[in-house]
Amino acid sequence: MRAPRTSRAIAALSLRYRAAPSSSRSTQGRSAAHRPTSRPVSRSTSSRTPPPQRAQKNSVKEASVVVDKRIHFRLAFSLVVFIIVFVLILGRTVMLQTISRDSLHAASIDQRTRTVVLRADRGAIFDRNGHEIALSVPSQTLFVDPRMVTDPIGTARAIAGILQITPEREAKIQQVLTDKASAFLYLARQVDKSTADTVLALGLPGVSSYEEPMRVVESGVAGAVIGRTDPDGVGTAGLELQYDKILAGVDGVSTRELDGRGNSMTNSSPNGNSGKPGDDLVLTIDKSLQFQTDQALIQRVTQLSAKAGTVIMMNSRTGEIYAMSNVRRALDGTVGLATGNFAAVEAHEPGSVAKVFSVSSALDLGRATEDSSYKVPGSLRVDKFTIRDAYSHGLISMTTRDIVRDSSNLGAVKISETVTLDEKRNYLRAFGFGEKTGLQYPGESRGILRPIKDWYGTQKITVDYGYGYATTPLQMLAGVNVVANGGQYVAPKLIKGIIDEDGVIHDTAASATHQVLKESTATTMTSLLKEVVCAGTGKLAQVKGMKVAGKTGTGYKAQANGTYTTNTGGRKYFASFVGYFPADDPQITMLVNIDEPNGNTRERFGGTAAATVFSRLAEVAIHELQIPPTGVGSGCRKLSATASSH
Amino acid sequence: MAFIFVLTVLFGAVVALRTYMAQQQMRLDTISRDIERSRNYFDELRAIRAELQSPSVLLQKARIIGMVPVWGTKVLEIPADVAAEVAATVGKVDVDVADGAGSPLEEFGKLKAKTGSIR
Repeated sequence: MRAPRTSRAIAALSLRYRAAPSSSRSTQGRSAAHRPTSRPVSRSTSSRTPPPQRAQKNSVKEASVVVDKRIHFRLAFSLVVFIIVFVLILGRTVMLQTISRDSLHAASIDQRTRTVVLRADRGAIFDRNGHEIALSVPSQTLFVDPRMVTDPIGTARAIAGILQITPEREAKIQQVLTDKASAFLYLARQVDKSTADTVLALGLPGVSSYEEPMRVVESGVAGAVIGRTDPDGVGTAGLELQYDKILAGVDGVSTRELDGRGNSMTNSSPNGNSGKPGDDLVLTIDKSLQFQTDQALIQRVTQLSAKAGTVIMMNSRTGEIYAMSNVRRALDGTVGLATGNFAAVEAHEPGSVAKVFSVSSALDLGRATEDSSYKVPGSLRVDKFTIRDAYSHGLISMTTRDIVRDSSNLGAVKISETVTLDEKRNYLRAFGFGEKTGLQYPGESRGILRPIKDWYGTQKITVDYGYGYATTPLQMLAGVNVVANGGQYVAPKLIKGIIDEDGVIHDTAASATHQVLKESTATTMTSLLKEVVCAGTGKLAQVKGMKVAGKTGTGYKAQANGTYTTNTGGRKYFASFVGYFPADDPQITMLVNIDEPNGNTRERFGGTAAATVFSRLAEVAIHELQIPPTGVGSGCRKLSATASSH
Repeated sequence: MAFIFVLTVLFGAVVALRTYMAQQQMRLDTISRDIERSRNYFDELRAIRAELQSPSVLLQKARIIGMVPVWGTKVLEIPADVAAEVAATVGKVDVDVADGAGSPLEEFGKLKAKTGSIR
């Protein structure tokens, strides 16, 4: 724009200093005037110009020189300015391309791209037969942007009506919508699509939804064992917590260039990675067995007006747990599945089931045989406490077999008199007490087994019949299973396999084992435990077509006042039965605990409260696992006849 | 003129190519959304199947059609001659026939191998 303007100025100057020799010249067009210095015109003019006009000619020449200088100056000035501007632009460009490059590049990417976190699919949890127990399903989460809400009261009312939320929650939503202090409020997380569609169909301003996975535990089967996740899909309890890293997978990231409508722009393939879906867990649990165990236990706890109950069913050889049921009575009196896996986290004194450990220790050390005879007194006074059996008797002669069959506390004490405290504790440790099982379940208790220096007073002998130390139901089951498994401890196991991202099933390692008893000791102990079921305290655990071995346990529960008597003078019981079948080739070891059965009835004992559940569930297991029967009857008639000869 | 013609053709080709790429990109977007929908539908169906297979639902349905739980088991001894006669009549059952259906876990593993990383 500057160049034409300069030309016009030069032309104007030329015209001003040039005389108008003729009208025709003065009327020359603008194009003629554009000739910058008009040297050819001057020359032709001078040749025709008369002498008096020479002075004028010189002055014009001088004026022309001045004009030329000014033009040159302006051109030079323009050039300098242009160069400066160019250098500045160049400098700025260099700066933008070098120093500021990274930040500008990042800003550019940020403006036109969208990075979306692709949440990895959380792995499913299967039972041993491939049936889903826990899986993630799509759900909708409803939210609102309070800034866009025009009618806070109406909006809160409408949402409350559909979502059936409490008046308090409705008032809170209304408050947030009115305040407009935030830009986001959850209305409901993880609701089904139809509910979300109903809310969205109202067309309420600011109300919207997005999709997110919701964790579902199918019919609540083994819910206490599986645990739970939080709404963001992070494991917070149970196996969901223990195996969170395996189940969660690795989130992916997708970065796309988007247009204003959110569609991908041409030639912009998505970047990032798709992440890694979580691996799937295959449990050792059998869904059908678990369900039937739950039902049987709920029914029994209800019948006995008990506080709680636990059943664990385990493969005697591999330690695989087929069912682990936890039932609790709620504050309102209803009995249902517990939310926590008390079988692994709650410890009680084992009661008479512990005689399995004390007697087998003595047998294993060779300090007693199944036919050893003992003079058992009616009572025994130790440190101001009197110890008695559950049934009154005077001084009687009992064999080891009789003591186990009739569950004599004093008999167990007599047998264990030959075993030192060190040996007692070492055996208890070997049976798995005082340390966690191989499950490593979150919150799992190691029970209580104090060092010998802390065994005071009666505790030195009460350990022989199940007081003075505490075990979880899981520990107790694994302890009795030592006898079932030929004297070898096998750690309980809940995870059968893991399915990786390529769909390959990896079986987990076999459970850890260690030898506790001699095989011959286990065989002898089994014969004693068969007699408990055939002729002793565990008769109600008999199963038609199956030989069963087991031990009853009826323990007093320790009270907060430090005694085994409640403040009103009553007792609270803990009834147990632990057994296995087929007795001579065990495949299933099962524990049944009934916590606080009604103490005013005969159903408070392990042989009544718990043994019946064992019997019923043993039949279920025989059917479900297709265990061949050992005969037509319970196999007790012949055994009892043999026993009576002793 | 030739230069202008070539330039026009080139521009036309570029425009056509860009249009085609845009179409393909939109197709890809649509397919991605379809895959996402299908995966969600698959998960929903899995959940429904699991529910239908759950023992509680089966128990409920069994009760509706009049079935009751079995109480007590009676184990009978089969005389040896009867057992031998049945075995001779029926023959040995092929294991593959008896357990015709594949393991659900293996089926799931195969499916996961194909679709696990698609998102």
